[in-house]
Amino acid sequence: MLLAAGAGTVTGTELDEQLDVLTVADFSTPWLTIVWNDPVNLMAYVERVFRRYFGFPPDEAHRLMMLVHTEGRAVVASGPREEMERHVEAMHEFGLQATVARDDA
Amino acid sequence: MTRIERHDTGLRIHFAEGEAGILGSLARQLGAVFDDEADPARARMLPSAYPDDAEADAEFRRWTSDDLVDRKAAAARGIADAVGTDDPASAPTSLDLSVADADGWARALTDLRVTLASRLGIESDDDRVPNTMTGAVYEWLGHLQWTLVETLDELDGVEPAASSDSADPEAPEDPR
Repeated sequence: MLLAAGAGTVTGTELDEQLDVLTVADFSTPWLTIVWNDPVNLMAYVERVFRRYFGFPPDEAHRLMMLVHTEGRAVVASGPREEMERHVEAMHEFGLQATVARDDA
Repeated sequence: MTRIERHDTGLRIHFAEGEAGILGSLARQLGAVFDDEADPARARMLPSAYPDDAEADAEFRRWTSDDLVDRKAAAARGIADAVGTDDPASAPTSLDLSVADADGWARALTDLRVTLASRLGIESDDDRVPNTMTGAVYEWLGHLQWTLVETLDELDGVEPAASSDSADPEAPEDPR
């Protein structure tokens, strides 16, 4: 995705500068994976996905699932943007409602 | 009602009369939902990763949607092929699944339930499941998925998730 942002439209120097900016944005700014409550998914299923996909211990998987259930959402991961996008894609494959967000808390 | 038990390293599902056929038929129909880009159920199965950023959303979809649809369709096909019938009068039957197969089933069952929820107008936790045939199928799929996940968790040596403090999977008012 870095390459898709400006490749072919700028000079080498400009590209270097852009890449620097993008690198900072993509790797220094923490991004979040947020899972949202929805009316369909079963508690046990969400808990299993958290445990099996993210590798959370059962207690932590349960705590995060309950956060989703009671607060409407939970942050389940943070880190580089592309990693969060992989997580969100996986959550969508599991049928969970998930989004990527910049961590500006 | 469908029963599921541990069997060797995997699990065994016992379908009552008609159940295998209904499941097979629904799993087969899910392929058509993925093919119809105007279907609201399809949109619900492919939610936005960036609801507040149209550009990032489009970019994310460009990179992920096709593969995601392919994998979801394959999971649904996995159920249809394993069940091998779409006859609503199918005979009672039993089926053995590996853990990996069963996890694939759990994913596809979510997509089936999301699709039925879309048809039933279930948009929030406050929406009741209508007392209709489709509503009954939706509840049955929930029961099937719940039992499947519970059995998978047992195979992992994990206590049945959430069952102590939440709920009855058949209670429509507390679906999660």
